[in-house]
Amino acid sequence: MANPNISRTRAILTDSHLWLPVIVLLIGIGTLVLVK
Amino acid sequence: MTTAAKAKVTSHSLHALGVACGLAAATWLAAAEAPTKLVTAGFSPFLISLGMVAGVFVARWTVPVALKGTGYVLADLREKPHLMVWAVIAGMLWAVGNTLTVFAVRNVGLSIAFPLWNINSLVGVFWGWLLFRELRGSGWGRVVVGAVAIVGGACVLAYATAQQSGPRPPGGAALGICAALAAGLMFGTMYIPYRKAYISGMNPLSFVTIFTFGELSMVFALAVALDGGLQNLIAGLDRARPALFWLFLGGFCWVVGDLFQNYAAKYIGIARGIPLSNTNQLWGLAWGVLVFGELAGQGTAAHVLVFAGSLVMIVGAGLICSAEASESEQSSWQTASERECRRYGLDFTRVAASLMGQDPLAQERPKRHWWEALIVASATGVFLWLAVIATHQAVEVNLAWMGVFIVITLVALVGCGVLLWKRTGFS
Repeated sequence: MANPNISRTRAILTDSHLWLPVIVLLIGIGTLVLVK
Repeated sequence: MTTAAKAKVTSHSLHALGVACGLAAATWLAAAEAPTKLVTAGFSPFLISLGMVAGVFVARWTVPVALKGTGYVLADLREKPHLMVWAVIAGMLWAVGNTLTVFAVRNVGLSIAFPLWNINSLVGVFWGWLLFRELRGSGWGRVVVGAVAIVGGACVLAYATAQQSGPRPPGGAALGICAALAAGLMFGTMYIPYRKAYISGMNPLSFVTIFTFGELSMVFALAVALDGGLQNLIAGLDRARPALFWLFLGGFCWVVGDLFQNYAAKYIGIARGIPLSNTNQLWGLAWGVLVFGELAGQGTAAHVLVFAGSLVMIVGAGLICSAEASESEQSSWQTASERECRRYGLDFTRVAASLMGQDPLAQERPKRHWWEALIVASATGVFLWLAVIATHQAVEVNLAWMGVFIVITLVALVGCGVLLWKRTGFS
């Protein structure tokens, strides 16, 4: 069962599995701007 | 047969299926490079990337629709809507990583760039261990040694076959190395969403349908922002039209390879599946040497290096193939899956069934629709139109070897496709 105290949006936003790829993506875009 | 014995047989057959998918992925990911070799220089890296991704976009919609239908894919997405966020991010990571590889090769050459971005499988192994409780139990050593051997073998192959050509941008070496490392990080991190989706019971076909939006939008945005604006892009696409078929064909092969890679990630995890699919370098080499004559004129040292590198990769792949997840590791996988079910309110029984190769959603018989035939026909039409306007590219190929590799690739497709269908119904 879902955790009743937490909405889906909040579950997504507080999921460590989300922020790690997002940070890596930003690093990639930054590198691309530098390399271009 | 006792329940424990049945569970063991099931686990063994899923391991074998995942291994077959990883190896089939390698043949198709390598085949994807062949058509792009036919595109002669003169186009910007952004344009080549966009052309290929456009082909990927067309194919990614068509294959899931043909195999499972829109009703199935939509029902799967409705059941796990949160995963759409991860699918889009994964697509964006791939797009950025792919563009970075082009700049890395431009700045430092393939022999340095390739080994650096090939660390992606080790990054994947690390994320699998850290976030999804993979490799927790006996037998992890063989997987890690196998993954390191595959990366090492790939480095040797890249070193042996790299051809230094043309002047490189001055002072660009450091940036080229950064680009290659960043590409490895992008590709390795892309496997976080893959694994997250599959331990939540999502079908790989549904995942890639959304993945492709992130992929196409990011490549388009990069091309517009960093390659001279929209008008420049449209003009470039118009110039590239006679070569688009080859890029689309490369994109199609990539889609098939990536689908097998996704199934491998689902059934044996990313720590095993990704290094296996990374043996595509071996097949890429075979295409390059035997079809495109890339090793012609190279000395004995290059041939020895190629042989040694290939052998190391094969040994590494063999180690991973034989490293079936132990009971304790499978129990760890289950813990990771339970975390997703608790957090997002998924039905654990359905998720567990999906991970065992069953398809609870298909048992509900989602409706097939007439427009699915239209989607498949339109995609086929696009490919046919591009084939008609395509120009012959002046690249010499060995037709006999090309025939052999096409047959091997098709055998991998049919063999692994039949296995997937019989064992899981493409779940």
